[in-house]
Amino acid sequence: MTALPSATPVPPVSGTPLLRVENLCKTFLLGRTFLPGSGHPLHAVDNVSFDIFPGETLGLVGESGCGKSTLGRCLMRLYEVNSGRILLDGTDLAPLSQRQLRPVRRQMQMIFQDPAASLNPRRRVGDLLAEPLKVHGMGDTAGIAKRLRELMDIVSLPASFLDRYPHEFSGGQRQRIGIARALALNPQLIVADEPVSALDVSVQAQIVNLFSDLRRQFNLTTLFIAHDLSVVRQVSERTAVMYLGSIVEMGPTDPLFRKPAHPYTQALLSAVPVPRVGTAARRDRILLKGEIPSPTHPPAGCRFHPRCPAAQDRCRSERPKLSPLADGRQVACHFPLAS
Amino acid sequence: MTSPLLQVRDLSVSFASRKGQTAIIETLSFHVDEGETLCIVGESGSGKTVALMSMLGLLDPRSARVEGEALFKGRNMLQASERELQRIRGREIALISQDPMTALTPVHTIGWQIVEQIRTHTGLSRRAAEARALELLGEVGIARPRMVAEQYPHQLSGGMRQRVVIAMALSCNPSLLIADEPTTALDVTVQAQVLDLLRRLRRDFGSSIVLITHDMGVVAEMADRVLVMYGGRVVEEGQTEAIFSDPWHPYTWGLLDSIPPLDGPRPERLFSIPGSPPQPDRRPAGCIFRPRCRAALPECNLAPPRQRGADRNALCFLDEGERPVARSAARRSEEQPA
Repeated sequence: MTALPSATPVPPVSGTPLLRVENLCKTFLLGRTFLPGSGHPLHAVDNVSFDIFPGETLGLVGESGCGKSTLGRCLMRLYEVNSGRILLDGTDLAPLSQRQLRPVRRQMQMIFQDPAASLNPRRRVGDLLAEPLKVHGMGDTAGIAKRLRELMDIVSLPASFLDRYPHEFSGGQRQRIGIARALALNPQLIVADEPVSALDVSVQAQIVNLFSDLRRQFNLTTLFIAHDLSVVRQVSERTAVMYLGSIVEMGPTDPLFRKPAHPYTQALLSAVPVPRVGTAARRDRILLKGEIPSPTHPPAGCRFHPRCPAAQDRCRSERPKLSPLADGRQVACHFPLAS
Repeated sequence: MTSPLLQVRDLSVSFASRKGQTAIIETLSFHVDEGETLCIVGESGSGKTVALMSMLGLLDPRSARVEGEALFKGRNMLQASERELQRIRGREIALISQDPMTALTPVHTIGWQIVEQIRTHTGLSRRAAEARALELLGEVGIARPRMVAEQYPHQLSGGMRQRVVIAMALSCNPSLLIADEPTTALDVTVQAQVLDLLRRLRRDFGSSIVLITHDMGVVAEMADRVLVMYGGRVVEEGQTEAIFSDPWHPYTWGLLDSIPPLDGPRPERLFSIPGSPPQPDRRPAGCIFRPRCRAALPECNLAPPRQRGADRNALCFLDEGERPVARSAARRSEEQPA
């Protein structure tokens, strides 16, 4: 890979955000019976706030069970939220009914992890892509046909594939179809939930490149959810790291990866095996003890303290808030690592 | 050097399909030395799992045809009787599968399952086997072995289950440990723990490890030698150091270059391998990688020769002199998006 200067546009820190999320909470009740007040609460998304600016890609990383997918689904209102606001272009989506949400859905679309599961196997690709256009009454038959060919062109698939069924395609091609479907309505916001993790390694890079191309071409605003840190680094201007339902660190991607401020971010980064050998591969590995605690019984104080190599007394009792550092990023830690 | 622990020669596996016999693996040869970690890299459909299943006699003989030989400590596993195989499997060669849930019985406790395995292969009494089981659970880093031994698989997390499977695999001190994508289903922080465990086990027990993975990062961290498989063949083989510093096969270039870097400048586009891996029944003639190769030549329609060097080889027409030019040309072709 030639060492091109970082070609990603400068993050538009100023301006009005396209999406503003304020104090979003989503609690699931486990083991609930008919008795009122029964069940054990699981705080999947716990008081999360962030902004996404127009044309920006925000990466959201975390390990399984940290609530990143739940957060994505809450934004799409695929889950009901318990409290908090989801402001898309100034309109709060949280209190809207499903009927009121209809017109808003045109503005936001989702790309799912497993394209095999998210495409109806009994419908042709053309029908799958035409459906959102028909539902939203966009264009007549000829207009839709033209748009379908356009969409196939955008994701670099031949238009002849429109007459085929999803099972006839490889994983990468199916994910391209999933992306074309999300783009059909020209949405303002895309939420991509692990869009490359189900793909073969040699195919992942194609889809990652497609995301870069689309962003440049259409100035897309994207929330890119993934567990693979190197993929998130490649596609996003800013990155948010989630742990047990909360954002623990958020900021511009390059400094966050170069000098993580939260011990969890640091440990997560150090755990990724790097494809290099010899001296080039030498890095300090921080081996976390134990596993992610159950979100039904989160630890008191800082949720990371039982695994944190730098935990102190204060961390065991007082929960740190997400607060800004001098360099503009935010971190939820009493003792952030020096940057 | 003494003779290798495992020596596979010209292994071919084909399955009966509607269109007749479909070749999955073609003339695969490799070896594993004592105390060595060999990583087999390849995508889904490259035949890496089938190769191991065939050696362990785990393929259904009614549908699979296996040819060639696989000498384990000098005995040909492919000719061994079911009885002999039963003695080898689990005792001398242990398997760690990708999904620990399928390797464990949901209806018995963890302790019961490990004890059963130990007693099948050794003459230990129940009491001694139980003690050994607890010891093993401790060795793989389980904090409260006694409690875990009384639990059922569904009560454990993915990382814990994988540790249990590793404990089981180690119960008879196998001389060869085969790990088929042991960390693919795990989170990175847990993956780091499991890889650390495997490394420690190799040091303490001296077992040889065959690690199947698609993650070049894991390869860099674990392997002594690397075998790159594509479409049922070994396309490149060599010492880890050599493969990473000077890969020979265009497929290996693609695997290495398509990984987004975790530090340094971010490339505008990633190097990608176009297309997708071929289905086993639709493999092209000549070089199997030709349709996706950015350095393909006219002669690639023919079967490629094996380029050989010190302790390494690659299945490709490009020779030593042509490689650097071809590789930089391949990289340039990515920078102009199609």
